[in-house]
Amino acid sequence: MNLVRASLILLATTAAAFAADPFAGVEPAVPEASAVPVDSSWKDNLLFRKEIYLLWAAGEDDFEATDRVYSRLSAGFEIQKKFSTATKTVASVDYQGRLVYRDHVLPTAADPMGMDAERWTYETHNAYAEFHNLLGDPGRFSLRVGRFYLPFGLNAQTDTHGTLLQLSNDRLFGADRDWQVTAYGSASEHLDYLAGYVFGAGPDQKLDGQAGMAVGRIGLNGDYLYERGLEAGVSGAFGERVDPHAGIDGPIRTWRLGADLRKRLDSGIGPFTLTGEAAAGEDEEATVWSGLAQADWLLPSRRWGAAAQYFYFEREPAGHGHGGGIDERASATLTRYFRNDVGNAALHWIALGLERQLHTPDGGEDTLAMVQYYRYW
Amino acid sequence: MKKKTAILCGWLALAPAAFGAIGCTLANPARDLKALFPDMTSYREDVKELAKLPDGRAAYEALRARVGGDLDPVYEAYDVPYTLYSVFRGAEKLGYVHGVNVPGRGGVIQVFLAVDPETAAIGRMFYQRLESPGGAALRNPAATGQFAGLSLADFYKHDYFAAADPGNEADRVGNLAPPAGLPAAAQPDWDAARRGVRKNLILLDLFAFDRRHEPFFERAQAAQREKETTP
Repeated sequence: MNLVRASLILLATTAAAFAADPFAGVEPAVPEASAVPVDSSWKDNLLFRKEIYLLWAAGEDDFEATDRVYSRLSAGFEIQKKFSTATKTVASVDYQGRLVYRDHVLPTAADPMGMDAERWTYETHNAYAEFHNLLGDPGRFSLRVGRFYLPFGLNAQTDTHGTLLQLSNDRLFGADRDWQVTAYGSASEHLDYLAGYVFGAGPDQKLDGQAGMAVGRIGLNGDYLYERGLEAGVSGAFGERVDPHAGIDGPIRTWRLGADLRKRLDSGIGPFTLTGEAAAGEDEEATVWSGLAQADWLLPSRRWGAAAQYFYFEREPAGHGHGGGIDERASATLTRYFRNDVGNAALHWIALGLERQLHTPDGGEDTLAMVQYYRYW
Repeated sequence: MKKKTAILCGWLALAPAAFGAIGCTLANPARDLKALFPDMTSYREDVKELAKLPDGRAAYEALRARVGGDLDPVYEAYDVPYTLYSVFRGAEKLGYVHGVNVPGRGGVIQVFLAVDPETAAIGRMFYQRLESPGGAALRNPAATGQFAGLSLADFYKHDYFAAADPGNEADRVGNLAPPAGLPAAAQPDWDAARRGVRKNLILLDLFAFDRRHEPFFERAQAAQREKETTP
């Protein structure tokens, strides 16, 4: 009888305690020893991504004359791997390449690598190793070695692998990527730096006796980017490079000075981003001017986006035999995203583009309509 | 304080878009982590992918159930990779730092947490990218500081209290107050930020803590069922 009474009291006490705090007595689970992963594998910290990029473009005048459409079809991949000790990540590598088929190439800014490309080409976009925090305080000095974006202007912090709209470097240097050794880190409390030695190998990745270039950018650090949506910097380049499209054989003595600004404006209908890049310099004795203005909008759901860009590039007139002239274009895109991961881990979209060639060095200005399918997963 | 907050919010993304394809990473991990843990001597980055887990799909469904609602197919897809930062002083682990993306009313909200490796409780909460008309108010340290000391257990307990016993003082998550001066238009972003903290803790529980908070989730579920069936 006492046992029954004691049980009832215990039950009532438990019920009362449960009513007061239903979590009384709940403790975190202690993991079983076997549940703790201890083995490492070469697959750890390894990312593999596939890529498909399909682009068709028709020029208003060109189509009337040829009945043909430009097509650029590619399949590629990217692989990234980090290397760590038990307590430190010391290095990482990245490789991205594409097998590209082109037919009836048109001189669109959306495909700067297509200008005189073969029908079938293999393009290496990224091929680099990164060594983290080699000197000084953490974040002060890291090193990146290989082929990747030039440390000039906004391109080094903008992924334009798949986008129709490109930034200025393709036209300023003949290619937006190059083989290089670049250091990066914090320059001061407010500024970060990128400083590199660049081979100046141009779009064909060619060594032709050029000395290479010193290229660098110093810009506002991420306090400004994340708190104020602001990026701004100044860039410089000095040295020698090769560029088959500049109209100069062999090494080209080159210097550039540039300034860039990008401002994000947050709103209830999604962020608007305004971008500007300007640069001046010389190729041998030919003066070079460049300017770019772009506005982007992205729906908060990240499913629709639109952008418009105006680009101006001038190299001193062709009388100098320097492939001079003016390249002036206005472009717009409308994109429907199926995947649009914030960190670009997975991308999938269809984009419509329009490019009005206001002035081209070789004449024959046209208006291009483009359809693009892109997937990265 | 302003300087420190600014440091926590990250430095320039030297090349995050161009050189990475991971969902939510620190812009400059070395300096961001040093600001969070001044005694740090080194850190380690580990990429975590649900899809690479043996029971990845189940883990994704478990994440959905524990977040308490649908996962956004663009922001929170199954194949999004995450980066777990482990911070060390010598061989001693000082903490974990982990970030997630959540959709806000104006765009992306990146919620980062620095957590204690022993207790799994939040040491600091901070935003990196924050596309919100209420960004300044949300970043106010008075608002982000409220999350310090909370653990995933508190969020699971909140599920019970919110449904069965609103206003209970033990409901620490229920006591979180929106930042002063938050525009009405940005109220959804406060809700999204709280959801981001919860999602972040759930993933940390999976990636770093061997699901140690599962008993709290199970108890919360059981308590809710108990309450619903009790007349």
